[in-house]
Amino acid sequence: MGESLTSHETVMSPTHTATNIRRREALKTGCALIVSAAGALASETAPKPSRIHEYSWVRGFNYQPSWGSHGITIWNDFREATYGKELSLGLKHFPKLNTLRIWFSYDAHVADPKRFLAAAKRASELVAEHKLKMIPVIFNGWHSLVEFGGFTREQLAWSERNGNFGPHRQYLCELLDAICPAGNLLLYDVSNEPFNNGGCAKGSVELRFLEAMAQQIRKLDSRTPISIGTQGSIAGPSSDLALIDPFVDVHAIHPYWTPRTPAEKHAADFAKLVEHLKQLGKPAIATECCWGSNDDAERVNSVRHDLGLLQAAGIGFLPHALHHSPVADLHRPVPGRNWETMYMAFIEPNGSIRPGHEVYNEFCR
Amino acid sequence: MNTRSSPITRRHALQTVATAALGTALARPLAAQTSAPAKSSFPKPALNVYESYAWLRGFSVVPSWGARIEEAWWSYDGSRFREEIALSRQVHANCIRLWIEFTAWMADPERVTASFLDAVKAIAEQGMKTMPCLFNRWHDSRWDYGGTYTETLFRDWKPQLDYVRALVTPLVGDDRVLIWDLCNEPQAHDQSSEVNKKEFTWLKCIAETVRGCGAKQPITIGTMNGKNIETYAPVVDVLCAHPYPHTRGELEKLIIGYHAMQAANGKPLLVNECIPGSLSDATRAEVANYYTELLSAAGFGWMGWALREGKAISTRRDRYDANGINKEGFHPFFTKSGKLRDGLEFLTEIPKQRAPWERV
Repeated sequence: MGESLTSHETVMSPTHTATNIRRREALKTGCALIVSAAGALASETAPKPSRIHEYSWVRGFNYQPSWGSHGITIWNDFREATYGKELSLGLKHFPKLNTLRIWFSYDAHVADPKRFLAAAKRASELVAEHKLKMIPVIFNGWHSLVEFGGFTREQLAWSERNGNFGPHRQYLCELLDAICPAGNLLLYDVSNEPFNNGGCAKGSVELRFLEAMAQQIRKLDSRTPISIGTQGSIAGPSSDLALIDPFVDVHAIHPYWTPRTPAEKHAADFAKLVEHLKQLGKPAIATECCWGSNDDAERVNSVRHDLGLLQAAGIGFLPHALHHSPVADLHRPVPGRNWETMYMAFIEPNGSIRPGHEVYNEFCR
Repeated sequence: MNTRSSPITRRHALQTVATAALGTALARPLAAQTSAPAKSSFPKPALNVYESYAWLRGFSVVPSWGARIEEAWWSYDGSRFREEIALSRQVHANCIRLWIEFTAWMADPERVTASFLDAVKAIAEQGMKTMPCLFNRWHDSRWDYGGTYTETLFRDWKPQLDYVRALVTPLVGDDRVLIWDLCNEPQAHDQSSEVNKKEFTWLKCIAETVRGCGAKQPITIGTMNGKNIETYAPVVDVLCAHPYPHTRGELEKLIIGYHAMQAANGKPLLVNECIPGSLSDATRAEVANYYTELLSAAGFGWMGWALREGKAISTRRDRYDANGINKEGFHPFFTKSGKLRDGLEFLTEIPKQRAPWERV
């Protein structure tokens, strides 16, 4: 982890990110700069150098603690000792672990702002105390059975009329105030999978929301890069990456190989995605990967496939997810729930590593 | 609670006033009307069937400990629940509208079902009946209480139907359930859009599921006013309204419209939410006074929103909604210390109309 963090610090130094911002600003105000018009044109039309390897050192996981299925119960019933214990377990089983993607909760903030913010602050401190970087997921557009909570299109439409996303903006500001002092932010994830319920189109309320929130983050913290976790579709002007490219610094993709697709077909599609990411000229990271299965061996195949492709492409990764949890997809089937489930955790409820899942470590060498 | 919808429904209500007299003139005997529009393969309700709800008197209950509906059930406490609903007997309530939601149930089906059944038992212990409200489609733009959203309607309904069956099946012939309220404030005012059609089809499916379980009690849906009521009229056994106008005159006009809808649809109508909120106890009491008088006299009864001060939006002074006098939608009847708000003492007088099970 030490070596990785060294390279990380080089990549993510404040100077580096400040340069990013300046470059973007320079493009916006090009005519006022000393750069000649011809020179500016040449720089815009020239192929952008690939930067997709800048986070290749990241070895992480998504993490949902073991006690709650919903953002409200996770954060407003925060269990500090359990949280710390599970972070330690993660490092024990996966010694090269250096980053966690932590899902915060607008709903928990609505329910009880003080409790939520105290818990968010303590969680960020615990992650930092374990010498781990954090990618905070600020909003969530993924809904499942059971429900974790997150925004809906209806809710965004009302919030937009209420002070240009005023309620969401207030949550965002207070959350950043709570988690930034820990000093371990790798990058922001404005929203997990924001287009799952639609809105993957120019002019959508989701896009207006994401842009407004990204702008708010830049006002509060201009040094930490911004990402948005999407499936990473690339086809056409309304693809995930085309829509969010204008306001992210890092492309955060979720390149799952699902059982419906032959492995070779997924690998070919992934290669196209990598080429596209290179052309976009921004760093890339896989903030989710490794499709779940209730069958341990089948899951291991999935892990091998996804991590193999990502490692070969030089893209850092954070599979979903570190520890068993009542959150959807992070536990084995529960009697009485008659809906389809899959299991994506790497650590079992008793703290042991899930059978075969030490395979993760093979991709950390 | 229909903060966002009330301007639309109120406008519509005013439009329908003109037709009210005609509707009243065309009114037929209730017994003849009820058989006309129904083309259901399910038997008619046979338990707790009433032609008038003039005696209905109660409250919507969202337990004080939850700012969100999920918390209300995940942190359910039978003792606290009993303490809270006991307050309603001070003002002679005979029914509690009990809010519950799929998002709460799905996380822990067995425990939430058990808590729900305990809540029904607790309400019966106080001599009252339960009006379960199975889904919520009312959402505040800032302090959302949670529930079912438009997106949910476009997903697989099977898990929701499992939820409905889990709650309804143990109570299908249970006298403690007055009526099933399928959903608080669905949003469709017609079936002209894809979303509205979906919402209608979804609630129709929920109604069929409840009836398919063998429920003997009637079905209503917590609709608001005007076209919203009419849209869902074919699905229900009993129409429902949520009047929230700010003056006696406006309420009287709405009541005329309700009579017209009742006659046109050949179904009884009840009110399971009403009375605009206020931060001022005196103002709230003044409004509550004429609401309870007029709605009882009209035969619709009244169920106030909401019983007790708590954590949920509109039940606390620091999170009131816009559905109130001067947009001060603070709605509880009892304070967090369990005291009836000043000015509401008139509710402690024994009502003239008692619930059928209280008359014996």
